[in-house]
Amino acid sequence: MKKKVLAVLLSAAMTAVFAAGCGNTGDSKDGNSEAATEEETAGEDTSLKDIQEAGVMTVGMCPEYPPFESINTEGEIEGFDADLAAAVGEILGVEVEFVNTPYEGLIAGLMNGDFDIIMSGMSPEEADEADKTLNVTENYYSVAEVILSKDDSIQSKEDLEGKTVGSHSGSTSEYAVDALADENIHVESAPYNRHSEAFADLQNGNIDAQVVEETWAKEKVTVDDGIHICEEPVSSINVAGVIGSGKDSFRDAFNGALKQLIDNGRYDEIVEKWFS
Amino acid sequence: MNGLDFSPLLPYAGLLPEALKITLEIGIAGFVLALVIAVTAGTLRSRKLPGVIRFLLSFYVEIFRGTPLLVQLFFVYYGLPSAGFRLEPVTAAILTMGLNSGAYLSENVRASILAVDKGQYEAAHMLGYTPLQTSIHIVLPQAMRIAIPSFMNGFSSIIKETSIVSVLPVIELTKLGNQVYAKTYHPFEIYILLGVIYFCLTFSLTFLARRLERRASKWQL
Repeated sequence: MKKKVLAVLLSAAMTAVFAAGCGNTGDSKDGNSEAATEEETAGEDTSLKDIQEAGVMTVGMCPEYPPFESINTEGEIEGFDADLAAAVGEILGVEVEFVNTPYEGLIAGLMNGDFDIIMSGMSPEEADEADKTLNVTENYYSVAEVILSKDDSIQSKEDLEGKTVGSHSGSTSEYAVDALADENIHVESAPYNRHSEAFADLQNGNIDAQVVEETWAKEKVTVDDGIHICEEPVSSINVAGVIGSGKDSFRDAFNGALKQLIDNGRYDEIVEKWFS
Repeated sequence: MNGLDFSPLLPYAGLLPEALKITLEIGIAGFVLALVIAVTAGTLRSRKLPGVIRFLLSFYVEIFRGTPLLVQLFFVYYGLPSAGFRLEPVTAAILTMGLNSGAYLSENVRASILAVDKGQYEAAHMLGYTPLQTSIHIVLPQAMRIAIPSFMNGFSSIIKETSIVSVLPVIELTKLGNQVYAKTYHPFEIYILLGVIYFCLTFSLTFLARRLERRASKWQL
């Protein structure tokens, strides 16, 4: 388990190195995908054209976060992000391909051109922290971070003062826990590799509470007795697509497609399918 | 942990063969690569060599022995593309496992070569063997027999260490386990099952190793 923690640290360190590299070398950075090379020689943003010419939009996601994305019994990726990506692809007139990537490898993979966009329940803050120059789409969902606890005296975030609170390291839930300090609520943060691990430790009584996305809580907590979901959320965190630096035309096309989906009601259908 | 229930995992059973195949592919190809590296580097390191080669070899061994496999994997797959080397995830995994395990095993090869009696060299020299011929025909066969147990150790480790490859976009056994875990929330059942599979793989190897060792030692006095 320590090794996984190391993985997260390492990925953070490496993305920082990459970020520094990208910042300094900019256009001269050794592009490996054809798309990137073309972009450099043309000296302009051909990101949308490249995707349309290839006929495929590749989407990086870590399918360990139902209902956003998970694998089904066929081993295919399904979920809210997957359906939304497919709908966007339809409007852009391209096929959509999912790249099954560990969460700690998403940013590094995007920077290496392994896929065109990350749609994996990632918040704009996470993308910014990795590299400010990354393009972030309009927020396409907002998740409430809620508190789970066995202890009936914990009913709101104020009750967390002095308690040990578990969360998924590097995810939106950990941001929510860290942000408690800004509201003068002091907790001891216990980071885990996965929500499920924090939840197992909560059940075992090793932590007082867990902060987790409401969507996850609603799907999982029903299986357990004696754990309650606090009504008042800790905070609300946005989710957006993350696109490589300089790929503005792709980002704009994505935002346009998203707006179209919201206007024609397709977006609501997808939300209905996965979150109700 | 009470009330283990494996039935929710059943629908995912169809995904197992592919993941098992990838685990074995990385494990076996990684091990073969490790053997080639180990025999080459170990033999070279057991001899007197020009300073540069000796330095490069010990640099390689020390780097791969002295840093975590996870760091190496992450660097090879996510780091090297910025230097212009782009590898498929499975290739990156095989290469890294091979280099990592090769570094350890090369030390075993070196020790095994040093364990071969000095008289063997002298006899070969008397018979007019060149140093290379001595290595290939006289010393290495004997050294390899001494090294078999530690090779098999290495093989077992490499099979289990393929689980660390789950930090790359490769759906091997552990990664599949994690993804089914996320979907079904049955961690104990999944990890017990993974443990059993890895054990079966390594135990059958140990069995094979014992037979191999017995055969290789048949003619020994």
